[in-house]
Amino acid sequence: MSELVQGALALVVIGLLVIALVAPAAPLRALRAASRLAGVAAVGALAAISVAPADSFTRTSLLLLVLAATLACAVLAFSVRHMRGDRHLDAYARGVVLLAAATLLGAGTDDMVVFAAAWLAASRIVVELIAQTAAPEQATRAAASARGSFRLGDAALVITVLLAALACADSGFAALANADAAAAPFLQAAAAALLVAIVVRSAALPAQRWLLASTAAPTPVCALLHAGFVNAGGIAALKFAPLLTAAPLALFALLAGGIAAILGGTAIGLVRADVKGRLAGSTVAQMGYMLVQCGLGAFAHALFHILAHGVFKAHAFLRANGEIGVAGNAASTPARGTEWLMLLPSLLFFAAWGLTDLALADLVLLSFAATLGIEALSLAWRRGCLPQGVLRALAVTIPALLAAVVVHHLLPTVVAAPLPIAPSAHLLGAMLGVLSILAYLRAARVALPDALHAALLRLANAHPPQRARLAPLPLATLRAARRSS
Amino acid sequence: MSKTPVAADAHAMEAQLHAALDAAAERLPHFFPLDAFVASNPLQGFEHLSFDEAVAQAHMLCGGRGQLPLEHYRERVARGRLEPDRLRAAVVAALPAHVASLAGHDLPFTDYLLARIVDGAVAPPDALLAAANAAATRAGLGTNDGAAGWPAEHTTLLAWLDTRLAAGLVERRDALVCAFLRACLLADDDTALPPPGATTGLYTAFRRHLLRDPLLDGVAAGVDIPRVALLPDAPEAAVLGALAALGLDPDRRAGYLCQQLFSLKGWAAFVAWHAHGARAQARPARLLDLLAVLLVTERLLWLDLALAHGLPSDLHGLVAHLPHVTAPAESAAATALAAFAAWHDLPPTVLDEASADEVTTLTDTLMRCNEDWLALRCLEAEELAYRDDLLTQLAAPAPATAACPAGRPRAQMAFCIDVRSEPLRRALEAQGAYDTYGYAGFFGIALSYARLDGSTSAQCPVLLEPAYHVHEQAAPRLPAQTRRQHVAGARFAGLLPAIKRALKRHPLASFGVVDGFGLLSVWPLLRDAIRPAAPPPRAAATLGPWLEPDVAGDAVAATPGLPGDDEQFAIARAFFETTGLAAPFARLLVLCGHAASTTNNAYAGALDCGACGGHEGATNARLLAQILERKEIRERLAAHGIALPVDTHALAALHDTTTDRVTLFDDDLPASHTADARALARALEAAARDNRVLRALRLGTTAADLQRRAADAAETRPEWGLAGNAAFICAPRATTRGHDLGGRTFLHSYDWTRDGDGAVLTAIMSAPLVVAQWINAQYYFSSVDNATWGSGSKVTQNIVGGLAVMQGESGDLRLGLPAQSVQADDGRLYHEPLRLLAVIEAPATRISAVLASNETLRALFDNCWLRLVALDREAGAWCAYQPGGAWQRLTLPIPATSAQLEGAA
Repeated sequence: MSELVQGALALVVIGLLVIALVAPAAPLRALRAASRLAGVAAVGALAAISVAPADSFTRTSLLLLVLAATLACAVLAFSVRHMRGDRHLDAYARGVVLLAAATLLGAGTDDMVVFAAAWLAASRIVVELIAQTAAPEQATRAAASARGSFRLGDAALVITVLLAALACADSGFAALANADAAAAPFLQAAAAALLVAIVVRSAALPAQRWLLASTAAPTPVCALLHAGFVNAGGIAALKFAPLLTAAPLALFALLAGGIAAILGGTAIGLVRADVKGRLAGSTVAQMGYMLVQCGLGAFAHALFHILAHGVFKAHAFLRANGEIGVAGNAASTPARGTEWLMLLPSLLFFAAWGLTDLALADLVLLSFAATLGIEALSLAWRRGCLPQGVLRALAVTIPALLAAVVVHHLLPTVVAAPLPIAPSAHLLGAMLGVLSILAYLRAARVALPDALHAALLRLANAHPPQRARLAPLPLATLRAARRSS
Repeated sequence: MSKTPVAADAHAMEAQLHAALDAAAERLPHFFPLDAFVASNPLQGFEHLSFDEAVAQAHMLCGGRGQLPLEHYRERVARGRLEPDRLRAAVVAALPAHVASLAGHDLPFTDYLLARIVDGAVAPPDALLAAANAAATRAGLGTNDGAAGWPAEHTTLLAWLDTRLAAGLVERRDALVCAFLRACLLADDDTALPPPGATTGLYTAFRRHLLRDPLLDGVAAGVDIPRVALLPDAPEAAVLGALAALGLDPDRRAGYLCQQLFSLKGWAAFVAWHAHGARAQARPARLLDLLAVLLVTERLLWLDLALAHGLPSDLHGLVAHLPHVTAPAESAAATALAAFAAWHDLPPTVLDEASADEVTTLTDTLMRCNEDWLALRCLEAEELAYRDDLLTQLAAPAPATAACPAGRPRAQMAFCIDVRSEPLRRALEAQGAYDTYGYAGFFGIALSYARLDGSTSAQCPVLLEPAYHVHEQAAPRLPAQTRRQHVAGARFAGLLPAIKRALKRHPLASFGVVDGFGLLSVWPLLRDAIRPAAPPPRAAATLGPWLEPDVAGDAVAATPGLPGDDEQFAIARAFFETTGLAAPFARLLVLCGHAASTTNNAYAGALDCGACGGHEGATNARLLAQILERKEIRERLAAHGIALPVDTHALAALHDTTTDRVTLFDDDLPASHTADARALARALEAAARDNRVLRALRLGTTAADLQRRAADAAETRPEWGLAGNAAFICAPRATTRGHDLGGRTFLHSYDWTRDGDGAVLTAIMSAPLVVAQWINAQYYFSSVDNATWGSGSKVTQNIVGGLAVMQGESGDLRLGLPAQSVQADDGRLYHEPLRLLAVIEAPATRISAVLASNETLRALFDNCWLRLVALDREAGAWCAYQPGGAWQRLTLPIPATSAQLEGAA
């Protein structure tokens, strides 16, 4: 089965590469062809899931393939109409088809070296894509930002793969699960390097700036970046799961990094007024949530989150041009009297933690879903839409809760079972508490302290203003600078 | 005693500052929020200048071009699209002198300039260049001093330092300022955390922000200036302090403020708009605050630069220490002189012998007639060519099928003057005895419309304030139970989207949304990407026939904000008198508004009705139809000679300009008229089909594909909007009927023989014509320099605060139209930029009288912002208006009157 999947994947990737070769000659036809090929790949991978053995690694890869192929299919088809007539169409078409190939390869492969090659290729392609297609005057800066970040992340991943493959004497991911004890120190070091790679690629703090800067790229490129490319961090966590579960400290670091990303990303969303910047903040936070799930060992939850967030965010970006005139509608009635409701979810979390024996990942999810209901009801109330509004609010909430509970109890049969880490509950509770407080402040329209707000604005700025370099420049350098300008 | 003069001085300085600020503010373009996008002239602050001078000044201020590059016209000449004769005429007419004399040689300018247009500039030989340089130096010209300091009248300090040092100062300023402005002024109240102090004022909040920024700490530690001087409490003091540090003379300050505002002109225009609206109460911000922000930041940045490079921290010293620019070997004047001499095959000796005066006069002319000047002459030639083609076309006999119906027409239908109405009107008239009229699409009712879903829109031209406040209600003809259901449905229809939107942005719930609903996005994602759903007709989507504005009910007298009987009568009367719509009245009198269905389009408002403030036009049409159906109004109209027969019924319609569907609001029509309405609907559908074929050709697609474009979230060109607009024709339909005007003309109905005192003409020229000029100028400037005056490519646009647009991840707010609205593809224009040509059928003397009574309007014509031609039937000729007030009789034939046409038939 596994060989069949790998063979089919290789065929699809080669097909995409061929299409990318001819793309500059006929960009629109290339996009259309690549989209169809990706669509076929998505259907094929979906079909393969049902016949695949309960071997969890293959299933994980197939699910990731379905996501990557679906996104490529949708975004490429969309851009056939969206990018028509664009001056960068040739470079765009070539870049996105190559990116689709690299993403598919990375999602579906069962070999560490191939995975690293796909990862490095994707980094390179994204930098080129930004440099060649982004808004004029921002392309160079955005590409430089991405290049700088990726250099670190890519090096870390190469180290990870080298250490792991050498320690196991095998480059297959399967070898990680049954490595012998002698390899343990190497694997621990590999896990540490992997952390860096994951943080950079997931745009977790402090590596969030490349993602913010990349919103200079055309909308379909953003959709591919935020829905597919950033997932590579999570995909690496899933594929290298045995490496991480063998290193509790690494898991804990992922958890802490994830929490920081959730808080940072949410804060970015709270100080950015532009659609794409807010979506970028949301991606940072959602990727952080995925890292938290990985940190809790709940890899099944993380996989589900990657899938759900991928299609959700891709659609949000493709629809970003329609976000007009939404302010000033009745929805903006102040939440007077209901702000304190925002504090409930964290209380709920602790109550459920004390009273039930649900896994932590499930608890976090439950409190998120509960907020959904609370906020929907409070909105309906503020708009004077009770009691009819209750039905609509419940119509929003109940499916969310159901989906959350059902999926999260079914998924662990697909991927490895959750691994409880008891002390993290306090950390998670604290994170929920901070988020609740942010939600409360927002609803009550309370201003933050000056220093905190200034720090958040810098955090949310893709290119925060730096001070001029302090070294005095010799006159010759000044002249050279002038001549080059 | 000693303090009083100082205080008085400070007071005078502040008064001076405010005066300078007001002067600078007048130059700014208009900002309109996206949901009420209205096309306006980005150079409206320069309309008191001649067009040539305005574009030159705007170019100095912000580097934006005001005309297409000369290469564009060179290519048109090469391809035979632009006749050299017309070009010569345009150049000759604008040249101050036609011959230059140089050391006894008489050298013509015109041929040289034409050669520059047609063949381009040729590099002169070195010998000539040296001679020209010597001559220029002898005449005291063009000693380009490299040591010259910062030219404050041309460039802001930061931009100039960037050209000298490549220090990226402007970039750093924008990164700091734009991010702050977005957070302070454009963040949603309920989904964002505003900066502390945002409720007290923009500058105050910015000051609090800077106090926590490492930039201020670094600068304050390095220079001998107290913090409070670097960052004063009040914006006035901040601006004055920064200006003083720049060492600018008081008479240069106004100009410099203007330059600062134009360095972020989108934000400046936004703040000017914001300051005068309700938004300013929650977030006070004035242009003064913005200037204080910009100048304080500028000062910190150049001080920081000086510190980092160990340069003096006073501006004079800093500038003196910068590396000198070596002057170019030849000045621009010498190069121009040499090129001129080379074209005339003059030996270098002639230049040596020429007197200083001759050289000065010649180079003055040559410098003035630069490439931009030549491009403007080409533009004039293009405009005159279009004018003559249009006038000749109108004089030619129209196809017989288009003749005006004799007797009672089957329906009379009034459309908006929008250029998109013209082809549909022509197609409808070809279907049979239908009469069409053109009238401003808000139908003379300036109203604000409150819908049941909670949204409100100002349905009138932005020149006006809404005079009436109309509420949406369920149609009174429906049973009470149904009405209640419709009202509840409309009110709750908005709830689910609002909940979704709020939850997606919620700090906690957003995670639940993704896990709970994320996967469900697969369906809309694939649908958007692969097979866009067919759109509901715009009419049904936004205003079902079961919901309508109401002025006709019993409540009129009792409800404040609605037009009373007198006002309704005035509205109805103005409609008939302006359009000249008169007996014989048809059984159906249709008022047709327009709107565009588009999906995922930030610029949807730019495709809707501009006369309705960038909103759908059906509401106003339905209101006028209701008014015309009222018995009281009809009685009063009859008393004034407008007797509508009892079997004439008024109804509204909506023309969806992306799909060319026309929806009739005929639910209130009596049974006796349903057959007429059905026949009209059939004719409209046939007309729409013809029009779709034409429009599809212009979009380079098939008619069936137009439906897809309206529904497609990926589509960046759902329709061409008003692109191509070039003329405003104010005449009875008989003058234009049957002629294919290519969807390029605003058609306003007007019959001068019924306009005794010229009041109607005055009204048309001072309102609809001006709006058309705004639209035309917007399309013009967005086409000639989309990067400066337009909003750039849609694919990299980023919507801020739901009402403005920026490019990419940060930067200035972008005004104007996106590239896709005027370009067929990147680098190939669809819209041909021409200034508006007004064609008015009325005696020239009468038009002169209107202009004499309206100084601003006259200035527009005298300054060449638009052209004017009168169809003067008394004189029997076309008369072209000349700047200054004279009329030039044209030798072109004039069209026959409707009476002559009937006689011939």
